[in-house]
Amino acid sequence: MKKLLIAIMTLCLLAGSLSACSGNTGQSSPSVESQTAPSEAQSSTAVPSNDTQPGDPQPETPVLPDGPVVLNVMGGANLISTTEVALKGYLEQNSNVTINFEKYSYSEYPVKLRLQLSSGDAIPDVMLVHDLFMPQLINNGWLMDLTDMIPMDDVLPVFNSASKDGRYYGIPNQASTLYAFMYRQDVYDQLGLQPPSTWDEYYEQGLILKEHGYYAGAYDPTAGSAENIANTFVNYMGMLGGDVFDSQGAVSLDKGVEALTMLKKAYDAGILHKSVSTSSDGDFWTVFNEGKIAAAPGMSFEAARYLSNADPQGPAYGQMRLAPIMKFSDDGPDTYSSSITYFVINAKTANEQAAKHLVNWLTLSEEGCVAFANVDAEGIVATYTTAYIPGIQKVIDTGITPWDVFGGQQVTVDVAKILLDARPAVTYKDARYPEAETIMAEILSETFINNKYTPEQAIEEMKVRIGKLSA
Amino acid sequence: MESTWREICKKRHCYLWIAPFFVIFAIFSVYPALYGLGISLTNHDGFGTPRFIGFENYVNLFSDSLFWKSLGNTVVLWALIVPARTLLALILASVLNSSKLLGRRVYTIVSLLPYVTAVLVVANVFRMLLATQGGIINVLLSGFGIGPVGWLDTTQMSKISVAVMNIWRMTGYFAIVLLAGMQKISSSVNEAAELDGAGPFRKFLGITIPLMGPEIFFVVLMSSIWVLQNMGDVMVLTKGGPINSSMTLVYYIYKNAFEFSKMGYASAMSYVLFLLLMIISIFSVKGQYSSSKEDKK
Repeated sequence: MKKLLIAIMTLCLLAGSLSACSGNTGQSSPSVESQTAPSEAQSSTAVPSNDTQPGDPQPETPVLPDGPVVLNVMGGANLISTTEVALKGYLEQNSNVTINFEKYSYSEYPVKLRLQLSSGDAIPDVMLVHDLFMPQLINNGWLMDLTDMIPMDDVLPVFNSASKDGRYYGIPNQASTLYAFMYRQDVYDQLGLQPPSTWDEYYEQGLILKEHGYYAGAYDPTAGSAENIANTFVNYMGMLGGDVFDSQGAVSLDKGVEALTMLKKAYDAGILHKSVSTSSDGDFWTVFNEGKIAAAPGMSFEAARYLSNADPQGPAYGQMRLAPIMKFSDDGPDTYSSSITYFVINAKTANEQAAKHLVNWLTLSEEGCVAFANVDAEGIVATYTTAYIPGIQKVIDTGITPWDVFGGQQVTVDVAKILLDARPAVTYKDARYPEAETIMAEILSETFINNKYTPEQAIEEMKVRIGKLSA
Repeated sequence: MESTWREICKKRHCYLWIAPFFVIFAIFSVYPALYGLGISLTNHDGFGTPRFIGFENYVNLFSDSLFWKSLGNTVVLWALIVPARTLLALILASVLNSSKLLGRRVYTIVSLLPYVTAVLVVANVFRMLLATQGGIINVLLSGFGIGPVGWLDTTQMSKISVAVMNIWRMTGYFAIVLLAGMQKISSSVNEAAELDGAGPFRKFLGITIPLMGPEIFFVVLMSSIWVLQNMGDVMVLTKGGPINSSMTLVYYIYKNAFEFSKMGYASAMSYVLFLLLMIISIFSVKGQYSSSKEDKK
């Protein structure tokens, strides 16, 4: 009897342990979609044209279902926080919609996203995804085809990473990420300078600024993050008309030698401060607030960092201006975009119409574009336009709140004007990009710090090592 | 064999009591480990369908210069951290064990604070302390005419900076472990030594340390395993740079698994690390048991 009692208690304990061990329910096994090689996935990628053909069907206009709707939106913390602020008007207009925002760090959200999508989960419904993750999501069949929603004439052609076989699986959100020239008006006036129109002019100005104790930018080849080290080099390459990969996904590094030569010339001349301008902490902002950074070419979204990092008591506050970037070469583009983010819809979503209605508002409406351009909340360091041309024009026509740090300049409006006037060259990225960035960063560090490679040798080494990567 | 089986059947209800642990262990430890071994034989990116490639990942390891660099960095970090941390923990434990120390309990709690503080917080504070421009350490050094030291942005100093942060963070925890060992030493042993004319230093070397053999062994072994598995410190403080000079093996495994989407390759590296840790543990434990047997003789 005693043994029977012990056995029953043991079985109960075992059953209790096993039930506590149960994981997620209702999860299907990982997707069995096969991956295609980059050339297969991208060889038939068509850069969208802005010309519609006669008889082309009108884009579908999603209709929000009646009754309560709950949507889950996931992405990187900063951009989802921006989206949350931008959606206030939408949620007021559509009171039956409730949105749950899932925010993760930039390094964490791709993993979370891919884990949920690969398990066949219907949540999240809508996601905000950076371009480099798009090809993998598309190739695995996790994203809904949004082609029929897109009025191609009214959207900037920035779909490089979001399309496959002529179909589009994401709609651009943060599209106004251009290479721009930020500078101190007071220092430039004092020295009789104008924003440069060519890189050679910028270099000469850098030498003049250096003589007077200023820096003309920032670059740190020892910065811990590979992204920080490689970005400036990739931006230079983009401004010369080259890229790490071509549009088919093959390793290119076209114009790499020229880009590295120019960057090394600026670095060796001492016109660049040894810090990272894209970082929200550290040396760059210390030196900036001391008034020593007089010019800083960089991505236009970096302008928003000045809002939270510039010291109102510092000499640079109110003196910053944003101007179009100088031309790096005669045959290079007028400007360059290193990163586009896309709103995408989960192929397994249970709220297809509601998700499409939301994405349509976010990316293909004037209200959405104006809302993103007017985001103004504590702790938010992103304000931009979408790729919807009528929306961009609306932002230009209506204006936005002037930025005190930039002396009252309506920075987002000026960036929007540049976006419409000079369509940026857009980079191609896929799942190999993070590792390619790590390789480029290592070789760049060895080149700048240890003089291990000449620019030609460095590019050759990059081609060999990046060429070994498989998607 | 038969008698063993008979014994098991006779006492089967005992095995039922310990079965829950082994079931959970099998589900959450053995199964994932074997699954990981299977993944290491594929080109799995963590999400799509894995394709079997045999031992290709293991073969590629041998030609991966960054793998060997990160392994070398990990060994150097071990050499910098473990001896220094063990020594500092011993010193701190003996200070905390001193009857002359007022407010001993308060100091014991305070010494644990670095351990319980989140790695992210500690690393960010150290980044501010060690920043080349405007970092507090360099500002203090400039008062003595010492130029700005690149604590985090030179290849020579990056590992030292990681080691200093790790030692500061973990010494308190190991000091508490050693303190427990010190407190189990009978006071009569120390009294007898005092009667024989032994001073504090002689007592520490001749009595305390030998009698704390198992505790010191535990601290060295756990310290070694944790250093070899270190990722958080490097990830936040230096991100493995500059020029991968502070890249540890586990951080490199993480980057391959979650940033480069090379889960299969990362699994292969994990198994190499597992074998390394197993060899270290086996030899350490064997060595410890051999010396224990000799002591008993």
